[in-house]
Amino acid sequence: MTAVPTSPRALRRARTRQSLARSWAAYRSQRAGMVGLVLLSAIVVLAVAAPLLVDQSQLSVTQATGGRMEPPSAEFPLGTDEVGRSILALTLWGSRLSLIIGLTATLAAILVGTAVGVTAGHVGGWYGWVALRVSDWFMVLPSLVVAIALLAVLGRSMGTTILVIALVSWSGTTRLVRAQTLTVQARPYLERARALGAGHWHQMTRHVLPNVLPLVLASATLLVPSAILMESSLAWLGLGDPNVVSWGSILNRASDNGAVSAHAWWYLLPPGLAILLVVLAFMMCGRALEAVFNPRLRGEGA
Amino acid sequence: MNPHALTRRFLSALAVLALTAGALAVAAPGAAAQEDDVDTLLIATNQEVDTFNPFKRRNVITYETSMMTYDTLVKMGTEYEPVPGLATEWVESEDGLTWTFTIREGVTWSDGEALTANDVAYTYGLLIENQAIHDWNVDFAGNLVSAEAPDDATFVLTLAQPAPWDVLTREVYIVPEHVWSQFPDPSADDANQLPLVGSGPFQVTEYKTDELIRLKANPDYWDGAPGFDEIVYDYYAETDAAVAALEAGEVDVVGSGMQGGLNPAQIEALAKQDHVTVNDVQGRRYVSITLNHGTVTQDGTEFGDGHPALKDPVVRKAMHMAIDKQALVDTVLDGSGSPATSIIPAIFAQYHWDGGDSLVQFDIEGANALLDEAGYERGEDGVRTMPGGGQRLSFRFYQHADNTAYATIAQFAVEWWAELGIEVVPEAIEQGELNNLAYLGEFDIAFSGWGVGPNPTEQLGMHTCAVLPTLTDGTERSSENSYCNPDFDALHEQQKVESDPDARAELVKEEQRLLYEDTPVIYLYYQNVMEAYDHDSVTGMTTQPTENGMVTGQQGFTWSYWSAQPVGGDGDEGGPSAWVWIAVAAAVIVVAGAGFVLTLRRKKTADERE
Repeated sequence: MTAVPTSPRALRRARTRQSLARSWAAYRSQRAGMVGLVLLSAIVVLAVAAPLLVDQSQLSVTQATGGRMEPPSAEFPLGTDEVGRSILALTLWGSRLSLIIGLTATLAAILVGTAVGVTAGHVGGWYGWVALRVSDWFMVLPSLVVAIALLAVLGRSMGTTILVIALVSWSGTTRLVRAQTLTVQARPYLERARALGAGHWHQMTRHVLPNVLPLVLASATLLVPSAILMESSLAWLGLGDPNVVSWGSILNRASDNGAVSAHAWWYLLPPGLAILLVVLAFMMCGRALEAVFNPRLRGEGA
Repeated sequence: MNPHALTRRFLSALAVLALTAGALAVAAPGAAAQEDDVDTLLIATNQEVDTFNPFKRRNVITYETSMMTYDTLVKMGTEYEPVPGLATEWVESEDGLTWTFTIREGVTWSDGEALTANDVAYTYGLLIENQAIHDWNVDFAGNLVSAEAPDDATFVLTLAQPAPWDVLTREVYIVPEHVWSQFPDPSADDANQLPLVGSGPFQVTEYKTDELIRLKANPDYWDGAPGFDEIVYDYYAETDAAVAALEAGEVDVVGSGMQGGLNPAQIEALAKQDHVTVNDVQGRRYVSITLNHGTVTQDGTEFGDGHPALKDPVVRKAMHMAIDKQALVDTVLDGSGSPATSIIPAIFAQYHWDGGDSLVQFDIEGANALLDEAGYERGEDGVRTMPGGGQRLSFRFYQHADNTAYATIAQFAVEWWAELGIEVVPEAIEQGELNNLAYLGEFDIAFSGWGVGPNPTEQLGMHTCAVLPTLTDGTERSSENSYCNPDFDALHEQQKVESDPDARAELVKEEQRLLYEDTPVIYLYYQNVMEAYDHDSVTGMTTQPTENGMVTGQQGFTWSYWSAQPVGGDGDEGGPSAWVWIAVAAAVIVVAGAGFVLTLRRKKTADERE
């Protein structure tokens, strides 16, 4: 115990720093989480740097130099597609869209889910009842079927795909957040805050939300891979925008152009493995985060 | 774990496997014996049945079942020429309004009743008198005045306007009066009652949704009994699954029965199989892009929201010049097709127009020069604007969302047009919605494509002034793209009544030239038919046309399925007889049983030892 902070703001900052350091230490102690983090950083760096690594002209069909579905060679390490473009270039560029869609959809789902969850838990009453029933309704709907139906109605574009994925995945977060809100509400300091005259808004944003956020973060990390998987499934089923390059749309083109019959594994494997890797990385991070925020989940240590 | 336990487990597993194999072996000869009795031609399909009513059906699959179940007066030959069907001969009157057909004698329906001219008169009568049937076929039925059968062997058809080619090529499936007159309303789906009664080579007897359509051969078919005892359309959800089934010998024919057909990669894979013959020949289908040059109604009211620049023929021509059709054929189709000039594909050699001196060559520089000359100047962003500094040349390009070939073509076109300083934004839309927008005129550029029939009147007729809509709500869908040119219309009427085939062909070619030069549509390519069949189980299928023709997707009559013969004939020659199978199965069961008993005993001793 050296310097004791004087102002309340400094005190708060110091506490935050302390708790972050504690969480980081807890996270670091999990090997799977670290592996996931490294993997994820590598993928994000590759996705962000894709325009530097591979010129956009490699996506052009009129300037494609390769043959039709050429197997891997020195010039095309992962072979070519049916118009002669490099699969490596396509997969690299595809990562951008897959990640953007996965992250944006998750963000939207989490925002809606948290807002509904916190208000449902805090306000309760008939509003809470209605909010819960609505989220139940979305939870029991088979998500892929609903997504397909919605895309057919709304048309296909990146925006609608994000919207649809967010729409079918927000309800889980709502449940989680509401439960956590209820436990936080029961704590004495909230009663104290109420006694001191804190309004609903103050209680929700200053007391409930900060206590709910870690949980939300962990569940968001677990939601991203399912969003990416859903985007890929939809695109693979031919429900994505065929004019953009994402992992799912590469798979869709591969199967439509008979890569399966032609045994062109180089056309199918790279986007498939990329999806697998990203999902795996997010899962590893998400599990580790969960363990950080919920000590009961922490095992013997990796 | 002791080693005995492991061995025991392994042996039990083996015994179970052997037992199952034995059971299968016993079951197998039963199934095989059943199939030996009946020679079945298995065709892969994934198309749903709309209705078996031949007047109402619209799908390709029911077109084929109708062709096999029923007969027409005049059949379409293997070279798409009229050949005798139920009518042995026909005479057109001087004024072209009265047609007299002599009906073939001795033809019977599949239920044994005799077929007479009365059945023919009844069928044509339905087209004239039954309101619903009349409306569905109004383009032909609207011209019919009367249908009479003065005696059992003569049928007389009277028209309002001469239309020799319509009469000879229109497929009117003759239905049995003694069955159909029992239906309260022949336009209803009552004609779905299976088995169907017809006079064709095969009749539909069984249909299970998404499972199979079974057609039984008609051994008394007037032109000779078919080689197979039955045809079964087998449903496959995915073309790749149908390809795998053909590789495994589970299906005999894979072709146009699968929507979208086979693709080059699948053909290549199948070509490597010893028992498969692949057929990659010119087809009847064209793929085109429609340019919205202004949608109008018959009274000249403009509607829709097409880009004004597309009304300028110079812009349309420049866009046409910037498309390398050969490159599209090479990359999108892997060479399985040919660049298109106009609406009639090259397979109909007598009507196809090859472009002659007007053929547009791929020339980006030339196209740029055209646009420069016409005053379309490039803005700072490289995109041209309308003369006088008007609107930017930025077009919407609608494509069918489920078609990846279109997506590739769109990407090519967008890149080529970008070099002209034309910005084009592709957008994938569901087919139904795309059609809605197209008929409302709310598009700039859109994909289109048709399978063309042997009578050019049909396709060319969609480009006449007479079929322009009267309303602006997009519900009248007879005009392909609001094309209206009086010269074209005059030629079109002339070819309809021209009885001399060569003179008619000249008129049809002239129509195509006008269409090509006005460029309301850019015809991209004619797509090949890609199909494959198992030559170890089916042989002798007549193609249409005979030279380099197709087996699936035939027009007017299914020559291929009628002439198809099973390979090997009797099942006795192939494979061991049923007795051998039973002996093998018995042996397997004995061995397996012994193994099982042995394991049990071992288990006992092992248990005791432990």
